[in-house]
Amino acid sequence: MYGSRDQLITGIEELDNILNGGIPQGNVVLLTGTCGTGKTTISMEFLVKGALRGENAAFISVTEPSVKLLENMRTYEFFDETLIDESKLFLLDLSVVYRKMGLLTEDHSIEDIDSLLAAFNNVVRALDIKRVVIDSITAICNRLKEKSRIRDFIFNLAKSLTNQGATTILISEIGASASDYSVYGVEEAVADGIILLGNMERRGDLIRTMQVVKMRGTSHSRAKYVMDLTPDGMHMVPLLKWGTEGEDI
Amino acid sequence: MSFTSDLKSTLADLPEYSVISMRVDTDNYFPAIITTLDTMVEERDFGGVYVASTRPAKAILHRVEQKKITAEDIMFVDCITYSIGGTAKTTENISYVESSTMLENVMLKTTYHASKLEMDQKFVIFDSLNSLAIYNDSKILSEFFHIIVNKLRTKDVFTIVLSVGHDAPGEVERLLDLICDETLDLRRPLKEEG
Ligand SMILES: Nc1ncnc2c1ncn2[C@@H]1O[C@H](COP(=O)(O)OP(=O)(O)OP(=O)(O)O)[C@@H](O)[C@H]1O
Ligand SMILES: [Mg+2]
Repeated sequence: MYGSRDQLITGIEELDNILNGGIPQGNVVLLTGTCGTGKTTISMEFLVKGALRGENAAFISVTEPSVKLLENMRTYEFFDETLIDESKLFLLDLSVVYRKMGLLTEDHSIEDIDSLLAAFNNVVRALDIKRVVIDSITAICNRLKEKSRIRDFIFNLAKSLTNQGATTILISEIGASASDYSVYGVEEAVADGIILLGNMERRGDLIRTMQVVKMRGTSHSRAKYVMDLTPDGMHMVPLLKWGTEGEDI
Repeated sequence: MSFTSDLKSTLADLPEYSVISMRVDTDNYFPAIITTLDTMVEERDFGGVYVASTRPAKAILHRVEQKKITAEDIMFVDCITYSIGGTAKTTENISYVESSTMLENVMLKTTYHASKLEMDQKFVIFDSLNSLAIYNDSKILSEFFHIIVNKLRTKDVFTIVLSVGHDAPGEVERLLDLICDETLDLRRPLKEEG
């Protein structure tokens, strides 16, 4: 059939509509935005919806201890904690992985990177993970320092996760004044998809926005949507055309 | 017949998934909303979302309770309390939008709460076109109603857009004439001047 690759239904209804069916399976998607734009919440919803459909899901926490994450997520109705007990949803702390690897320094050497990649691979294989979130890739990149190392790391990570059939969201934290989708530029170049979360100021109102900037393997809407974080997850409607003269901040 | 009994029998006879533009005189504002809620909730057993932008949801809710209308069957989306600096903590019955200029958020909250209603038959009432028009121009309001009315229609929601008096923007009312199934003009005829 002419058309798109097999698509993974995210389970976030409006997002699936925007993507004409979902994220192409195996894609590595950069979910990018400034602080507080909803990156963690949306990616958790993506995992929970997957786990409920029988696709094992892993959240790899880099910046924030998973205990704290758990506390925040409990405030949402969509967050189904029994999935953790049933070993369908895994919250993993990267600091624990680091410690197990004996990685105590702030900087990663080439060898460290290889063992980190191996660690990710093992987790995905051992737990039969189909959906992965890394929160955030920016924090890992900060430890890798050099662009070439970052490129190698993300490229190899993406390759191995894709090969194992996992669909991945890499969270990218950008500053308010950033003109790019990622801090190092490498992240967005390697990623198959980019979803941008933002805030728009319109006549004194601060509006949450979401936009699919690119998504390899499917046609999709590139329009800007207004987003609401509700107890049962994210909901979106298109930004009204007569209300687009706001300013992204 | 009186205004309220007229309105009651009209509403009682409308098909299940009607979309109506309701126009009433200013002095009939409260009778109109109370009669509508009473008919939809108590007689037709609908559950509903009440989009309050004219008066705070709490004030409407108070009247609803006074009239012994089952308040649990109504979810309020309040678009005004934030703007006037009132406390806006989400309760069982009321959810708040920061400002009535955040029309996309009004849409999101309205459809979200409509989908959450437990009753099979649902209605949404926008109170009112006039108050939304204070802060939004006719172009964006028309776009808003065009989208939300059609969206609710696809979800089989009985939808009422209320306008009061004669100063609601004509451009939006003409669009409503076009996209609604029926315009219920319950206003007394304007007296000829001179
Ligand atoms: N229970 C809740 N229901 C609705 N919205 C919430 C709830 N809890 C938090 N929020 C909103 O969600 C926002 C945070 O979302 P989230 O943590 O997913 O963003 P983030 O982009 O990951 O932020 P950061 O850059 O700080 O990691 C908060 O700023 C708050 O406005
Ligand atoms: Mg976060």
